[in-house]
Amino acid sequence: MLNKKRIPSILLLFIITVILSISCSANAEKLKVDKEVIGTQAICPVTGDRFTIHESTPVIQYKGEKYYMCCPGCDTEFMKSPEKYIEQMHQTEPVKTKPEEKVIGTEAICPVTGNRFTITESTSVVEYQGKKYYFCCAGCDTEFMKEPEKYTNDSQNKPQSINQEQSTEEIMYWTCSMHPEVRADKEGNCPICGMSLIPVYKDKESKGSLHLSERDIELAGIRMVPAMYQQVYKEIQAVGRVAYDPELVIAQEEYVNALEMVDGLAGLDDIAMARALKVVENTEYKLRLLGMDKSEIDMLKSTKSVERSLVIPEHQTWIYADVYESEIAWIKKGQDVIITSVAYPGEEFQGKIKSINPTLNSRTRSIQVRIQLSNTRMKFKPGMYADARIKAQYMPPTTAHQSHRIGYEVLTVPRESVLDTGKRKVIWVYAGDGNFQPREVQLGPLGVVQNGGNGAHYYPVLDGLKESELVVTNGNFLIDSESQITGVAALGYGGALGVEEKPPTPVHQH
Amino acid sequence: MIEKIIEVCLRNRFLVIAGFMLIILWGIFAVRSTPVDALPDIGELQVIVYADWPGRSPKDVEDQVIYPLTTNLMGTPGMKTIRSSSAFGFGLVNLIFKEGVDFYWARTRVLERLDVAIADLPSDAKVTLGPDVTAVGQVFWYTVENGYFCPDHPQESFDKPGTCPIDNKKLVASTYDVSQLRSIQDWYIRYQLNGVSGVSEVASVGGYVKQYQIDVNPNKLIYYNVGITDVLTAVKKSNIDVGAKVFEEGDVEFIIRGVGFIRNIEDIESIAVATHDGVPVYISDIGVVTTGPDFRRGALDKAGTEVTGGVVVMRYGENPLKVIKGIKEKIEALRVGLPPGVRIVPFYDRTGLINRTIDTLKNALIQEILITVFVIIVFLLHFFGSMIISIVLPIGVLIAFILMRLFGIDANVMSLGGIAIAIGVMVDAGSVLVENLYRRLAEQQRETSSKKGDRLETCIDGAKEVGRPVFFALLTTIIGFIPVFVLTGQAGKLFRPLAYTKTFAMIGAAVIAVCLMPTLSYYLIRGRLKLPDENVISRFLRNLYRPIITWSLDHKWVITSISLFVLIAGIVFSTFIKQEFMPPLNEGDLLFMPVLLPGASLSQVMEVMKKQDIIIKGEFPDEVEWVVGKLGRAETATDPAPVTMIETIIHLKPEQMWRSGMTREKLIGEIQERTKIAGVSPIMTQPIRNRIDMLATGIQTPVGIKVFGPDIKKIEELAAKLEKIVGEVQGVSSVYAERIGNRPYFEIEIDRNKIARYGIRLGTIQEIIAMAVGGMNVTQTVEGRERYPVRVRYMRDFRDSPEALSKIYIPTPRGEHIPLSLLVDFRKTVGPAMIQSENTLPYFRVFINVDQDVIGLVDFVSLAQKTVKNKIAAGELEVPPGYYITWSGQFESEAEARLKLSLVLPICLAVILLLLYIAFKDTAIVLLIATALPFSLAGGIVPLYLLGFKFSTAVWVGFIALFGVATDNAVVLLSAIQNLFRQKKPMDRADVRQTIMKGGLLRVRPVMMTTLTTILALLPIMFFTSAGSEIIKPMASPIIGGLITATLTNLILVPTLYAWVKEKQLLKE
Repeated sequence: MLNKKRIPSILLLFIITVILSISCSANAEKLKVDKEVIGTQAICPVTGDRFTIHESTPVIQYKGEKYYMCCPGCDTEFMKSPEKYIEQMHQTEPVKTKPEEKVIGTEAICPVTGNRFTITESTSVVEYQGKKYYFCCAGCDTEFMKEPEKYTNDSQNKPQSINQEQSTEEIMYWTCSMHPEVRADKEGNCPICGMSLIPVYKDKESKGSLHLSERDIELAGIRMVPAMYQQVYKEIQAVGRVAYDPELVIAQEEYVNALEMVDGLAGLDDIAMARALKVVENTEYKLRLLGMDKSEIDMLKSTKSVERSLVIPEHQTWIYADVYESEIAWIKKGQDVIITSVAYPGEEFQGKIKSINPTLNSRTRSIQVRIQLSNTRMKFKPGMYADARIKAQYMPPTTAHQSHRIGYEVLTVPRESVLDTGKRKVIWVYAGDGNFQPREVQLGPLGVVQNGGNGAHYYPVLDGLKESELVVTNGNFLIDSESQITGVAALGYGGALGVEEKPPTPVHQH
Repeated sequence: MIEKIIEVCLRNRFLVIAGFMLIILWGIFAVRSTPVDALPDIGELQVIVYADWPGRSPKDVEDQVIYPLTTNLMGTPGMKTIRSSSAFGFGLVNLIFKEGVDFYWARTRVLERLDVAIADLPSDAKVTLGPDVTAVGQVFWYTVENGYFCPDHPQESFDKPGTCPIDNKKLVASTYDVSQLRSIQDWYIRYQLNGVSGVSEVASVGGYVKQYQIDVNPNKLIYYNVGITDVLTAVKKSNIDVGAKVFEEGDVEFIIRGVGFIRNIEDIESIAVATHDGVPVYISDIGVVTTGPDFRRGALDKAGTEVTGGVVVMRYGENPLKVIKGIKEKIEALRVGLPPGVRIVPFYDRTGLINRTIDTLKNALIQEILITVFVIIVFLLHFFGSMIISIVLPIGVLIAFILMRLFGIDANVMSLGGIAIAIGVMVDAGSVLVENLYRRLAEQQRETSSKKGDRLETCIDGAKEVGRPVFFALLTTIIGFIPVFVLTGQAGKLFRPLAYTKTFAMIGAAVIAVCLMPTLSYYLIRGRLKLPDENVISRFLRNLYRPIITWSLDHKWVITSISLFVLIAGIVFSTFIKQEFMPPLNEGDLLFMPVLLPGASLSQVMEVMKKQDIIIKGEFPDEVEWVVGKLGRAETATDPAPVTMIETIIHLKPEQMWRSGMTREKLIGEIQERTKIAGVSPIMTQPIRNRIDMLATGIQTPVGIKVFGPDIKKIEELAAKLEKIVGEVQGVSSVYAERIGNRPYFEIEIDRNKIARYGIRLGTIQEIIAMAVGGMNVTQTVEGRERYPVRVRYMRDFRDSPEALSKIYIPTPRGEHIPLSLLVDFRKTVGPAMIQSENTLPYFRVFINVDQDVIGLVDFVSLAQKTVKNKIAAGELEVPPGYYITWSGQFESEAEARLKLSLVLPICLAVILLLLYIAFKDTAIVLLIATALPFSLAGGIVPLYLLGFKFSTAVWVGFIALFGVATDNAVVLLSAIQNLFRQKKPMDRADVRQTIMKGGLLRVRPVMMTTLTTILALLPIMFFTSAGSEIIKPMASPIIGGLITATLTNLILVPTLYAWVKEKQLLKE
């Protein structure tokens, strides 16, 4: 029987012990590693690294939770401010930051593309679960922030899980790596080349994507960039020459004279006025025929200054360029033009399209475009030869599935990423985890981007791809070949260069 | 006859010895001058016609060049089949001639036809007769690469940086680019090496050919109103030197020369194309002139660095060792003239393989001879007697070489192997003969030691006594080997040399036995001669044999049962042994052949090759000496490799330097594993074997179907259907219908209506497409010895994409310039990567592998043919008119070889038995002797099973050799026993047994001697591991195993059965 008096004291004692024990455990306490966790994976709260727990892994118990440290120094670091690290560890939302100065110039591996690159000041950094991730390209960070788990977990877990998978996977058939069409239902040698056949696993194939190991990716020289929204331009090359057009100058002068005559006759003589107006009308029409458009004529009307530089260049120069019928749809007034000349190699002159002739020159099958150059310091002489590169922006069709953005930005992929054989246009997209997927896409015409240097050609993507998906720009032929060899391509997709129709091969399992 | 020869020889002893002296000298000469190679040339006799049409698609090459060529070449006399293949930029026609047609005669016939054929072809397609070589003619490859040199002594080049050995100055690296190296190769090294005797062709590979490139800006063409064709004509007409005879001036004659060859870029730039308002338009106005690389379809890479090099192709029938030696001497001489630092480094050299193989066989022959001599000495215990017998070996081999030289047979693993398997048998005749002479002389010594003058007569008598049986035994051996002679095709090419040399060696042995041995015996068998009883070995053998034979004669049933059991065991074992055509030869060097799918670009393939070469060189430092990769083709008709194919020669270090535990198989596996690149198929083969496979365009699988027809698409479909049908036939292990129709094409189809509107001719457009897009080598500069092409083409930006192509301007007769896109339809599509045809009809192949454990090849084919026929009859498979299928493949030659063997082998055995019958006039005895055959077969199978060899043609040849000797011992034994019976008719059972035992004891020594010489001589071969042994071993093992059982049969079973027969006869009487 309990003495009733002692109950409070027992309770008190109990409470004290409970409080003590809690406070004890609230202080970080070093422990030994439990046997059962050895070999499992943990995340170090200090470095954020994922590692495998072994016997001598430092373990710290804090508030009843056990924390495993990857390295011997981490535990002391953790004990200094455990709260901070725990908070860091549980931070689930990735946060964008800037690279610290000490890491600039060092190399890092982009978790999204797997590319090795050098960190610069402008490299984007995302902090996630206490670890910093550096990204090679602009689109990668956004891609990462969408699904950080995908990029942080896979790289460490992958090799083991794949091996386990393969051993348990069911072998569908055996094929020759050189002659993918060969399919046998048991191990043996290729009937054509005598090589030993390789197994094709059921699971691997059903994914419809191709899996490559890190070494495979490195050896095949695979590089990727994210699909980006940007303005695409088409460059139209045209033959041009420096204007020598006395006819137009005379026509302008006639027009100006006629206008002045009208001004002079204003309110004096109605008949003369009517005649003068008729002259204005006629000369205006002539100007239209010679390629001046309404606004230019209006301008001329108000300024009454004749463009004598059409004959002898002065402060500005005019270029006449011939644009072919097939490209005329791209040409608009006001478009920028880059002029180059053999006389000034390496120099580029900026110009603008001022007007487009209303008629087609039947002799050359082309339409003349008048381009204005300013501030050329009298470098051009009339009749000189000039190359004109007209930059016309690509406007996506309104029916395109993906709506364009402000300034007609469209989703683009580099030219190199497209495998096009006429049958289909295929892009290989990185699905993370070493997996690559073929994607059939619809593309617009090839163009260049605003800031692209020489040879940076891009295709606008009309359908089949999303923003910041990683597309393979180098090594895609090898990926495509591999997909045919291993039979991945057989799944509804024949490979860009593959056999279109594969005969269904009977697979007997003896 | 034989007796007569023996007598004549013995009476003219001096002449005989002098004659043999001459033979020895001749033989030594023959040995030195016989062409030596690793393997017999098993390629078919073929003449290659090579058509070069740069830049054209396989379709164009097929339609415009190869098809007209083949139709014209059809019906060339002596021709068996004509195969052709059209690839990108070139085509090959392979005319395969019947066996026995003279190589150069065939080439002349082809040339005659070619003369007519060329008239129909496009003028810019170059058709040439391929070099006079066969598939294995590529004997030597080298690279021309940068090295290091001392500025003061530039003659010497070094492969590593260091100091000059003369004045210790630091070495300087040479820095020639690959196009300069290629020029050195093309204009200095190549033709010099080509001059070496026996070299048919030296082809360059890799690097860049220097080219003057005129890159035309099409916009400027329009601006100046000049057509691209004008540029072409202008350049063409601006490059000529002329001669204008002479003039005299003051008794001196001056030769007049108009000088005008293009010599440099400036010359080209200042060519005027047209005048524009009185002002000339120069090339420099409309384009840019540079020197750059010519379009290429091949590249060479040494451990990651691009190099250039060459391949030396040896003329048909030459001695590769001699040719390579000549090449090396020439290279040594050329070295002085190379620019400082530049080096010629061999990377494939057949000499090593040949020497290794020949060394193996040389060692084998020497060891065999020594062992044989040793066995003879032990058995005879008489030095000079042994010497007389042994002399048959060296002289016999020399005679074989003389005959080889006369019959034009090269020394190689097969022909020397023939001698190797003959060695043990060669001494048999001599042993019997000498043994008899020895016995006779010994007897003579005993009985009438005073009568010395009769020595000659005794020799003549003694020799005559055994002359006939000896000759007879040789005849059976030679007849027994006839089946090998009737082999045709590849098997024939491989084994006929062997059959020849073995027969030659046997003939040599026979001649020596009949002519030389009695003479030598006459001189050398002197001193105190022991009778056989007194010989230790004889006594030992007799003491061993006596109880065995006694017991056997008493327990006939037991012996018979044991024998039957052995026979059954042999049959059981044989079911476990797999089949193959030919055991592969280990060539030493590896050929790593990664292949990319059709459509890969040269730069992509190059990248793969470089990476792999770096890995192979870097990650296997202990095993790999050097690695040189080639992609695409060398510029020779003997190399039809497409750009997507890499051939990397891996030269291995000697095996003792390898990491411990590394084997060849393991190394191959590891290299394949480490170099695995996604999308690339790694194949590992060997250089010679690969070359043979590359040029043999037939079917390599045991069974194949060729589907012929005019339309490639339909053929492909038909082949795919056949694949399905055949796939369900019993015994198929895999089946695959070839699909090579998927190379990317970009087609420009001209719209005739549209061009009509502008008045443009189709040909004009095509010319401009060819010139502007593809570029055209217009002319060639002449710069001393060197010649470089001058090419006209649009600037890169104006032609390297579909967009740019659409803006190629086509001038109209009215002077307009119309962009191409207004006149044509562009489309990307896929087409054939290669078109193959046979006898002018295109074909696709269906490869079939058969599980030969389930069904024999020949049975399978008849079953499959029936199935296909039924499907056609049932209407499930439709073969449209103009299409047909044929069945071919290895099974053909295998079936043919089997058919021939199964016909000829029984006939030969029958002839042997007939001969035996003539000798014994007793059916029972002949049948008894024949029992040795099945037992030797069973005995031969056992070592095959134990050593894991497969039933290959080599093994069968071994068996055939075995059958020839298996019965010999029985003949010897039974003839002795029969003699005894003739001398004394047996009265009862014991008498019979006693006589048989006596006969057996009499002959046990010669029987054991001949058997042991053969078996022990072949035994060391079984322990060889060096090059060539992998072919000789399977051939030797059935002989060893079979002879053991055959000898046991002959010594135990045959007398036992004979006793049985005799006893039965006795009972009847």
